[in-house]
Amino acid sequence: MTDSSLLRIDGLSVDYSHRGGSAAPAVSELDLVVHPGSMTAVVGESGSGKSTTANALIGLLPSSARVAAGRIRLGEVDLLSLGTSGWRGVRGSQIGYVPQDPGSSLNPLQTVGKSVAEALRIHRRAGRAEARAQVIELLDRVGIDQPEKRADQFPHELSGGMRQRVLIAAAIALRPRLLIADEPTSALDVTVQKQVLDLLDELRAETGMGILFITHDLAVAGERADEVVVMQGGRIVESGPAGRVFSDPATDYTTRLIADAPALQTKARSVRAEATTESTDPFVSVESLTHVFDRTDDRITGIEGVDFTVARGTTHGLVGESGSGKTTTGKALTGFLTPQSGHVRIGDFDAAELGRGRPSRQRLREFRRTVQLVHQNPFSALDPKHSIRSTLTEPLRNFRLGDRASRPRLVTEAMDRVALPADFLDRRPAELSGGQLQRVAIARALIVEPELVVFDEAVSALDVTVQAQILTLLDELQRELGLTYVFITHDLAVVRQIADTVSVMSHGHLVDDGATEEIFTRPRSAYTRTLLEAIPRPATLSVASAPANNRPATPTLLTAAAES
Amino acid sequence: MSIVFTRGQGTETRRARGGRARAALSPATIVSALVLLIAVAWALAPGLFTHFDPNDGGDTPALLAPSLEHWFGTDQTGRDAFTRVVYGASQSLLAALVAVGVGLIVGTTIGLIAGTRRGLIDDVLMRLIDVLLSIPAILLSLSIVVVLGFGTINAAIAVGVTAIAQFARLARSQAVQISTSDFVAAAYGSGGTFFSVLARHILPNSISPVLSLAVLQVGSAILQISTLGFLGYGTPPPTPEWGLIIAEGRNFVATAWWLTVLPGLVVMAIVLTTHQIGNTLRKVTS
Amino acid sequence: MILDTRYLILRLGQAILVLLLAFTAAFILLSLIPGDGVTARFADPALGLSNDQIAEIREATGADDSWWSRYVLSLTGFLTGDFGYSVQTGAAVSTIIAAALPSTAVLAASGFVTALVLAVIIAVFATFGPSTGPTARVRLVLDSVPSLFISIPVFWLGILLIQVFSFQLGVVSVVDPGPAEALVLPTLTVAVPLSAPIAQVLIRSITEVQASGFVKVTTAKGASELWILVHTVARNAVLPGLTIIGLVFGELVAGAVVTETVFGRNGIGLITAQAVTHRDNPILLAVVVIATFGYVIINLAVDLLYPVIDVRLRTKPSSASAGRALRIHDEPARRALTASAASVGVDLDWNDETKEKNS
Repeated sequence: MTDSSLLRIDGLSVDYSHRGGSAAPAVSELDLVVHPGSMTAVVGESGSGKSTTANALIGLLPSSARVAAGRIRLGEVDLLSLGTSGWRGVRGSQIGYVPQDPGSSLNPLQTVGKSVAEALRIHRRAGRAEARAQVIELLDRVGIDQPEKRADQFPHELSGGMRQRVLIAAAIALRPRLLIADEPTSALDVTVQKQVLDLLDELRAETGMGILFITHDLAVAGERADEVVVMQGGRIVESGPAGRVFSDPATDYTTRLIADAPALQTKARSVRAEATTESTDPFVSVESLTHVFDRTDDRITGIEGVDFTVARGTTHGLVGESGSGKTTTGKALTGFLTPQSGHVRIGDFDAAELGRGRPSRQRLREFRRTVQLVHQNPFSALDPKHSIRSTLTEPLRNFRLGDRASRPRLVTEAMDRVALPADFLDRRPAELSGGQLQRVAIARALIVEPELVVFDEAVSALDVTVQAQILTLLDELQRELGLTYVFITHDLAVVRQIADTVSVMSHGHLVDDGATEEIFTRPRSAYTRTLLEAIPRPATLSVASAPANNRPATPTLLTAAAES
Repeated sequence: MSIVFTRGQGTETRRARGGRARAALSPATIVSALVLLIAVAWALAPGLFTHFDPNDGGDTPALLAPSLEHWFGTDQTGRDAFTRVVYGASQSLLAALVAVGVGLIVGTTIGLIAGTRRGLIDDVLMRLIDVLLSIPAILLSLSIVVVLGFGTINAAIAVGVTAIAQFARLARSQAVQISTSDFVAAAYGSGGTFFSVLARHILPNSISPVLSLAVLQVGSAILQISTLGFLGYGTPPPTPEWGLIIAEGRNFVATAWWLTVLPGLVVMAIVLTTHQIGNTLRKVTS
Repeated sequence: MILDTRYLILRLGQAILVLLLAFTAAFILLSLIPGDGVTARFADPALGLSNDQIAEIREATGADDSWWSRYVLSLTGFLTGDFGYSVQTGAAVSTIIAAALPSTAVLAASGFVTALVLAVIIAVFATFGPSTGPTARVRLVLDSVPSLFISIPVFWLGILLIQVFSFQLGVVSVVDPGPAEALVLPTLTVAVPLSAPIAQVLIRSITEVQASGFVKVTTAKGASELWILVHTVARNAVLPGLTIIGLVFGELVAGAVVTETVFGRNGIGLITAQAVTHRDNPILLAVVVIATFGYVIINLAVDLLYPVIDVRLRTKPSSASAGRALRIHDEPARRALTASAASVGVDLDWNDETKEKNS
């Protein structure tokens, strides 16, 4: 067999030995190939073994892990036979590594120039002056403006996207043949993600290096990779050319992943006629809401002049990237922050006034009952010391709802409403999964029969399949109880699934506002357009308008954006 | 737009719990628990461990080397050194408990008030704690002993005052951290008042690191109290106290090494065990 | 400019305030509460002083003045280097302290340096090398050394060292040692317990840095463990070490008091112990104030040094808003707490930091 491959993994198995002796295989019988100049993506949830695979490739498995079987060949070199010094020769010069979190992956006390030069210095490829020249060339290559100036800056002075470029520059300094990118864009905003992915594409086209791309994001894999390997529980579920895997998934698991992924979602929210008709008297009305923490140059931290309205019984999506001010808006809505100016009218309350004047305890209590907040991270939103029963009973007691006899029934009903079994009631938060905890948090919010529920990134921390379930649940509850939702998220695709109306925020300002479908099909602001364009879309899906397969045709966000 | 998988945090937590349980039952911890248990038993019922009189050597020869009869030898008046160490446990451990109690109660109260009330009260209390911290502990405790007078309990109080600052700072930081957490915000959202949230959520969640610190402080309190005893400001002779026992043995350092070395080893072993147990507690509760 | 002037002034003002409050507390404790020191000391008939003479002394020492004027008198005295007179000997406290200070300074310096060297050696060998195989055992043993050292009673260690090196081995003479020889055992007595908290903090910070993302990235560039230790870990791990160095000053003082008593070395420690025995409060007051001054100065230096090493703390002019200045002002206390908690093995994390800022 003629082998044009750059990296070839055959039957790799990795065990973690615990002191007890029982070895749970983290990776078993993995086969994988990366060709020069191409990208192979390994996709899977955490615990699927994808990161273990990456660590095995650069010989950085934790000491409790052991390669039980298999071969890893980089060109002619058998990587698994290398000793400590052999590995040192390969790392950096043959294999480059780009880590997940640009925030913690650069030495905070060292200028970025020195970080980029590190590989050159370690492998003694350049002296001090020579290294400097190369560093500037590299920084320039990865698209950093003013490379001379940037080289002398420290990581905390650069943005996340810039740091990731620096890390890429450092990884390619010695022109390695293979680049391992371990979730390189997961910590980045979607527009920055696009730029970094574009850079990786250019680099491999230019230098012919192969890239092994580890990701949890099916859409990114589908858009960029030549080959896709889907992993679950340490095993390969499916592998093949990206186009084939997406257009014709061979396994149920992959099919489900594609179906549950919001970005690849087929259906938009069913429009509710009565909800979208312009209500003369909106339930929530935010008027010139302003709360500025800090102002530098023309940028503000906080929010300024935010206006939007939400009709009773509908869902309003509040979308923006990190630092857009969406969380601050959410806090003002729920009365946890008293804005510097502006009004937040909810029913007959003004949340902005509650904090300013001295409202009666009774009034504040009524407001808290009317408006409930569901936090982003279900693991921190529930007191670890209290059982689920105690957590759900607490609001009933505080608001004097029901009595000693009826409360257990109310609690059981609340659990039933979020489809959790009643025997969870005596468990503690640590014994529940993230999805279950978020259901409990939703049950706690709904048990006081609020009228408005604000969700702050409430599904962002959840697995796609769980995310889909929660969104369906929320939809049902809204119909059943006539609730009004404000849904804060960075994820446009989620918004499209759940929201009737949308506001897009950027740097503390509201840049776009309107009915969801309208925003998606005819974005008014340039920023919204950039956001929509940055959403990764698998190539096969974007041309799927031709019904080439038996899956339902997929009008994706690309087609949505293209229509504009 | 992105397809995000959850971390299997539920199972991780369970696994971590298993790991903690194992840490709690490590051989070192079991040995430590046993040693500490013996020390407590010495303090409660010294008569069960020795049949000699701690303060009267009778006609036993002085400065006998360790033997099966006299494990730690005898001192200058023929008293059994081991017996004195056993009887000394009650003084030393009682004083340590008093000291930690003073630090824990006063310090935690200050810290919780500062951490939950914030604002001016916080600033004033924390500056006072800064002052307490900036006077070297030994000088602070000596100054207090000078004012209160020498004696076991006075020495204990003096040592306790030096521990206030640490407890106050830890309790405050815990209170601040917990009161900015999501679940406390959620508790307010569920209609909780300041005091109900404090009692139900902030206190229970911030107390366990403070208690671990208390256990760790028992060891250093034993050391500090024995230091005061050694310098002669603690328990007055002839009542046995660990620091005092070593101070008395010091005069015979050239001829009777056992009078200093063996009691010192006992003190060290007990301090070491409190550290081991404190660290284990911290790992289990955090 | 590395340091924000505003921060500098804030920090300086805070130091002065703490010193003043500490002086006040010590004055109340040692001068006001004990009441009339003169009568207690000089009215003793054995001294044979006449009532006139006693009245004269009272006049001279200001014993009958109001507490407020005594406070002001004492405070101005301290500011001008006049610490009053010893109750026991009648000599000026400043003279007594000036005579004793050099010997204690030498002991403190040598003890501190030895402790630092010891701590670095322990920390490096407890964290360096593969975590499997024979070196793992060495690491494990060294890892538990700090908690052993921290459990040793200082006075007992001193006696033990005399016993072993002077009486059993006869290496160090007890009778009439030279100045350097006389320093060896006291230095060790001070250094061993002092090294424990420093080593503990260093081990923790090295372990933390080793587990950080940027060390993994550097390893992936082909760096050896030694290269990483020297170029990457050392500087990052030194930061918490710096904080603990400021905090162990108190232990250094304790070590000096006990060590000087055990070895009979004339110095501040011995004077302090004697002052307590004889209830010579003016000497005690002076020692407390001077030691507190030392503590405050050292910690001030550490705080001001911090931004020089940690570039992240250098303020950016653009974001130096009022809120930010206050937060920086809080930073040293935060670090101090984390480090001191770490030295007794308590974990603190500051995840709330960003949350606090946003709320």
